[in-house]
Amino acid sequence: MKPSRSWILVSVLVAGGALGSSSLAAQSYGDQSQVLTIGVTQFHGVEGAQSVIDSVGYLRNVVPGGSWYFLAPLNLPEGAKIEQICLYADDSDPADFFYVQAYLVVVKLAPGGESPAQVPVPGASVISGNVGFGYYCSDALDYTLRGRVDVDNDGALDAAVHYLALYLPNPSQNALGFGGVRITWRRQISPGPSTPTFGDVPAADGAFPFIEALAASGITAGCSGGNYCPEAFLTRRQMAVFLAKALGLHWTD
Amino acid sequence: MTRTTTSKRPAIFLAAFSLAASITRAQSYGDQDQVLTVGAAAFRSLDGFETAIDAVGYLRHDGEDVFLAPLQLPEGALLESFCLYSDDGDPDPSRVVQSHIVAIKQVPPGETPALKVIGEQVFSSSFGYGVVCGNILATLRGRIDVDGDGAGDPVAYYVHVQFPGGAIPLGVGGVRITWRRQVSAPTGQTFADVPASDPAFGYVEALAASGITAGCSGGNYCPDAKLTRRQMAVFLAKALGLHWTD
Repeated sequence: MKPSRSWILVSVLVAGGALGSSSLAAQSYGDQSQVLTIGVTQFHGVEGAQSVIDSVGYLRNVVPGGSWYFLAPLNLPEGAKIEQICLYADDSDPADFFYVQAYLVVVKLAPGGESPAQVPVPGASVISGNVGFGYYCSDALDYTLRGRVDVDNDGALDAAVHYLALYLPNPSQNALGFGGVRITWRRQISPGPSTPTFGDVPAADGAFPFIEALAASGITAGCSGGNYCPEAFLTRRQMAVFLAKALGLHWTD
Repeated sequence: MTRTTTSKRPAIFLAAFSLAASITRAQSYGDQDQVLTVGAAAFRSLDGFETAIDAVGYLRHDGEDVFLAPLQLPEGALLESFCLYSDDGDPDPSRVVQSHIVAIKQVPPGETPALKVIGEQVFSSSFGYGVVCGNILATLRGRIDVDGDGAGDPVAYYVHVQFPGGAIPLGVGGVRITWRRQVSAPTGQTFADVPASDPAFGYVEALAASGITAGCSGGNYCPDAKLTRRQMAVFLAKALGLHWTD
């Protein structure tokens, strides 16, 4: 899982950009960029990893000479586009070959007769430099999260789960620490099908993927006769049905 | 420690459901079936033993222990079925990974803790890597009667995974839960012009209950009025809590 030496140097240069952390990002619905923060308490140790969370909330590897990996769940919706990963770390070790690394992985969940697999998502990786506390951002990414991915590259989609992986070595004196990851992402509308659902909304229609997305999610079945009636005015009754169905309204405690 | 005693059931009985894992599901809003994947890294041991995820991302454990993962689904979600992805390399048919959904009562003063299994339990069988599925069919509510005293108890939902112990550490890759959103049942008539006989009654009531609409005027909703672009903006922004920046 360790990157090569040359790859490390390139990444340090890229980290100088750090665009994602300084710009305002949306935190809500809609299709604009927004930020998901994954903090240290979400990480689960791999293969016997031993660690503590220190008094300022940073994760520390507590075994000098040990190199541990951790995985954290990625709580983002299907179809989310990952745009950048920024790593907040404390890298007080002067050596280039001791660094903290955060990267995206996908794990195949194996059905009977098949084998599992774990692979890193290409390019979705960032490592720390030797500046003490700081943050480092990946290159711009364009990776769409899906629940089914061809993880083992055999041409068939696998049931899959994505994690944010962390590599946290301890050269000496707990000199490396991990504070968290901020992931810039955005919602996307799913691409429309090859065959249009409604006779009056062909693929050339400007709203084609949006109307297809509504139909696929069960929010609309169209007006009548296999049509959607895209030019008809919406009544307040129809709006109520659309919104309540879309959001699964409204449940109380 | 909370731990449930499980009755062993032939896994072959449940294998019939495993087809569900191969069907493509919607993953979004709306009222269609969708899939939530709860991966190995979301689970925590109840006993605090040293536990580990292996090199392929499976939770692997040789002790007789329970792990829980939070079930992050909205109130009113209909839980339909779930599939456990496991690695059972132990040929002993009594050593299996067991999984189910559990609701754990949050105990007010003077009451006692309790938990309730939600839906079927599934068991791995000794075939190495594989998937077993079971039915759930339950609506997720923040309060259910866990202890059978007739009163709703506040609950927390988890995915429960139990390892059998033994010389061969078994593995869990994760659980995939098929669920869908539902519109709540109306509790009364809010607007004079949207009676219970209106086909949109439940939807309009749900909108009113969530604060997205207060109607038009005079206790009415004006269901047949055309929606203006101004009203559309208010509905959407209120419904989704738009729009906050980092």
